[in-house]
Amino acid sequence: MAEPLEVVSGVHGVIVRVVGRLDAKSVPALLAQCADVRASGRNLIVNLSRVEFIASSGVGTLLSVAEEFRKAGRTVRFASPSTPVLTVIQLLNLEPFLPIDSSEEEAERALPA
Amino acid sequence: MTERKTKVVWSIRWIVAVAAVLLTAGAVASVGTVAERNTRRALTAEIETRLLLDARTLALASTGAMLGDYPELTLHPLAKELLARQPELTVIVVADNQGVVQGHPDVRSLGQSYSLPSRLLPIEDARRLARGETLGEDGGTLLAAVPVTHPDGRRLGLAVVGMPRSYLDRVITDARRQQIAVLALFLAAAVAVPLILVSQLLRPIAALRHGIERIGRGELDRPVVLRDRTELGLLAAAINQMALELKRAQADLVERERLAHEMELAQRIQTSLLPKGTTRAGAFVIQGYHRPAAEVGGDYYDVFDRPDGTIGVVVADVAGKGLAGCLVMSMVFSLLRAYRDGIASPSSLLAQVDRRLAETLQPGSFVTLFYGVLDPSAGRITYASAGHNPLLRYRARDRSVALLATRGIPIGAVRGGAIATTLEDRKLDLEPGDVLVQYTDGVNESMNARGEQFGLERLGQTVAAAAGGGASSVIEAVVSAIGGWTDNAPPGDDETLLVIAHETQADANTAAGALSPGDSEELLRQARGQGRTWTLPARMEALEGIGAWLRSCPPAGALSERELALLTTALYEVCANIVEHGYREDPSRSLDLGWVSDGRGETMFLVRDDGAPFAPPAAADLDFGDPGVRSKGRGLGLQIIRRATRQAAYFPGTREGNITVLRFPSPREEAQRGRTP
Repeated sequence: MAEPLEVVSGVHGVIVRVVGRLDAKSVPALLAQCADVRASGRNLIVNLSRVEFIASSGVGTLLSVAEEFRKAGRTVRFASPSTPVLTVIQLLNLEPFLPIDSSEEEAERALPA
Repeated sequence: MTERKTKVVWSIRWIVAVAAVLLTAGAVASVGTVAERNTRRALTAEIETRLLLDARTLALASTGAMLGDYPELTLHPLAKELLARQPELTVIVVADNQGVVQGHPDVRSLGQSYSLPSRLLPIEDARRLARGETLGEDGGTLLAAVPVTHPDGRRLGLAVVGMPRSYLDRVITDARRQQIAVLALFLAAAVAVPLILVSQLLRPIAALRHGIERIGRGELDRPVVLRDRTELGLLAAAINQMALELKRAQADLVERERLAHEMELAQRIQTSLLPKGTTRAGAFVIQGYHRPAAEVGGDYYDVFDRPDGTIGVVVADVAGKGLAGCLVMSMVFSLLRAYRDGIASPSSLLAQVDRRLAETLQPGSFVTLFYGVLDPSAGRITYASAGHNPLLRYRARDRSVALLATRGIPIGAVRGGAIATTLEDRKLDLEPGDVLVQYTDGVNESMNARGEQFGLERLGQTVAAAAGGGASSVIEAVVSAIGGWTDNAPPGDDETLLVIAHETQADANTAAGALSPGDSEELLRQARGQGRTWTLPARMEALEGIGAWLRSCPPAGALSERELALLTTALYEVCANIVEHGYREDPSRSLDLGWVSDGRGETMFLVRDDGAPFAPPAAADLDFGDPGVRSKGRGLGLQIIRRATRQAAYFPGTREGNITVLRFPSPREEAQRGRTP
């Protein structure tokens, strides 16, 4: 099984790629990773293109990460969400609260330099 | 256009005539053949004998003359006279012993010599001949020669007489011609007699045919008139009898059809008065059941909304069946509808109905009627009963069954408003799980093969056993119990049930509420029966298989990727909730997933568990505009379930355990699909 999180350093921030399921089991690791990035004062790109399944806990995590970054005055972008992720986000009308980009590159461009 | 084929008719009279002709001709021909042979033999013998006798007479007459000196002077006239008498003779000769002709009709032949032809063919029968006599044929002439003898025995000469054979043939031909004439006469008679006879005998057939054709056209009042002493007379009588019976049968049929039509009309009126479907008001579900008897009874029930938000329920039984009972029933129906909004007290309303109905009700006919007003918000019913069967109450708290009777007498039973003193309003508080059942005699008095009634005790037991499943379960159970009791015999009386159930359905989606706990049990049984269930242990890891299971269900094949993602998530959320809160992640426990299709494109997914039931939180939309809501992330699972499905209903504590039913796809997703095909 692939490692659920890939973390790489981008030009203007850290890129976290989520692989596989985003449910109660995988949520704590993502939350911890995001907290680390926020603590380091860098911006964040969460790549959701390889998420096969998202549960409500996953959605909650995305919302709270966005909220915490906003409060901390940092930026988080969500790059190329897979169909399951996008579907649930649209179902709950969460687009206004989750900044979405169609690719990692676009997300990079959207980050403040 | 119809193609008409000319049918060949074989005339009986001609068949008989031809048969008679053939038979007669055959008989006459065979008789004629035998007769002709005999005639020819007899005629031949007779003519030969006559010829011989002529010769003998001639010889005897010649004896005297031959002894004289000039025999020719006597013999010539003698021969001439013989020829004159028998002109068919061609030879008449008397010759002396020297062969000189002494007697001959022709004078010129006298004195000439004559001798019998030497090669005379003898004629077979020689027994008639005396000595010296000859009978024979020579060159087509029959000859008879007799010696002329002196009394002392001396031979004086020979007398010869002959005639042509053709004379004989002519005589025979004459005889045959006579026979043919007789034959022809017989043949003519053989044609004519049967023709006339059969024509006479068959003349009545035309009359019979016309009679039968009249019957065929339906003119049954004109009998076949026939005075006939043969079998045809009997036939005519039989046809008339048949017409008479046809007429009777026709009259019976018309009467039966009229009755059937009346019954159908009554049934249609009755059915049209009955409410359709299930009524839901708050936590209450009101459902009726009616099964008409073959001969329409006078049962009727009604459920209606009152302007103050309460619900009126009626069960009535009219004494009297058929159209008459049905008309009384519709009068009751109309009176109730007229007064129901204006009169709040059930007993006052019944008294008013009694006053108005007494004007038209026939003496002896009456109506028993239960009328209740249910206040769903207060959970209370106020009712009055005019002589109707006691109300059956099931109380969930102690699982008790009670029959609640009142003093009310039937409407129309006593004239003059006496009913008002017997009617009273009763109030009953209904708690969650409580069930009220009002019914008619057809239910509790339905009989088994031994003539025993189903009875109120059995009814109470049946209701108590099914009450947990809600109104539809109760009706289903009572109907099936009666079916078992009567061995599914057609009902002798109308069977009517009205069930009011305080159902504790916790519905996560308030907009849709068309399912009862009993329905959910039935859906689960269906899914199991069709092998459409999957059992998994109560572990969070096990829920990762939901996606794969869904893809193996045929209805998923029709879903878009979006819809499948939503369905997977919604089912996961339901199951995660059960595993986390219902089972507290105890892997020794298990839950079942299943699906059923309603055949109209809607699929229902079921989740069954027997963990601790939980109260679903209030189903309000989350306000994501509130940062607090966003950071807490609470209630997202329920939001996903609500929005992804058409209906999500949770039935805790059914006989099968807790059942969650998800209807899919959601209207929202269908709209989405419509936008992006």
